[in-house]
Amino acid sequence: MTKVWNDMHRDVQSSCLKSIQDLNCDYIDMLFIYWPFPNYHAPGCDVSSRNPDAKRFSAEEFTDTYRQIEELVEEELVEEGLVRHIGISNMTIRKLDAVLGKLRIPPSACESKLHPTFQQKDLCSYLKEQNILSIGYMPLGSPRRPERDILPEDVNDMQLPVLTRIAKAHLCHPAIICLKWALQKGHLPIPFSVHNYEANLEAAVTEPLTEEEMAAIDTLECGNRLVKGQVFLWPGATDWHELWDE
Amino acid sequence: MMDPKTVPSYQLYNGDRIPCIGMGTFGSDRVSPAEVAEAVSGGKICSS
Repeated sequence: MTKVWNDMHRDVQSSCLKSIQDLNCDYIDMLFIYWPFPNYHAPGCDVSSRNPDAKRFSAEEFTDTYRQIEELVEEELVEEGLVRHIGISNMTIRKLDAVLGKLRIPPSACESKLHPTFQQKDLCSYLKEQNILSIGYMPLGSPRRPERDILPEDVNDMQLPVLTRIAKAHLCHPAIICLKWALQKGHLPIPFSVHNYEANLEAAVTEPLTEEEMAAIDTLECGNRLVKGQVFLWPGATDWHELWDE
Repeated sequence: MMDPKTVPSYQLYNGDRIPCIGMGTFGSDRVSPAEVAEAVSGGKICSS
């Protein structure tokens, strides 16, 4: 699985071919649109950085980008296609309402920020109704996110007493509890992993959380959006809440 | 090493299946692109 970066919305095929070449594979299982708008920012830039060409979300722009991936999927019908499934990311219910009726091939999955203190319950219910799998990024609450995205009021999921207590009962790290919670919610969590990914896989097959433990974690929701996305704002936008239709 | 085939999967709308957990690779300020590439390469070998 890989993504179309937000500076490649007008040339999805080139982006896809580059990914296939970089990954040394024959096709992409699922190609995601990384952001629902093409507002590029340089890697590592400060949260105050803005792209003067940035624009607000447009259903037309989104569906044009999506259409380009549909064409890469549909190629499969006549010859070997480059893409098997289409994914979307960082959507809201309002944006989904605006685009789903315009798509020929439904999205298979939607990537969203999902962790115990930011559960996006309404969005997840909506996606489930539409038969779109919820993929949860930052499933541990991203304690190692960039310094520029850390604010004093942010909550560290894995340090919350509810999670440390449950982790103690299961003799594991709170990270494993976050993953078990996500899995039992029907999410597909994608913890950032460069070293310890076997422990993550084991979370999926070792003892599940009890109903009481799941209910206790459900109460941790507090709208704790850890990375606001300010760098994607367009000229004239009020603040980062506008990115998320809040 | 755990057999990846023992990891449960979800069914997508068209019946295809996908492992229930993945490996995040989004660019990190604290981990080098080379380390991420190595992890992706390892993941690819495991899943093939």
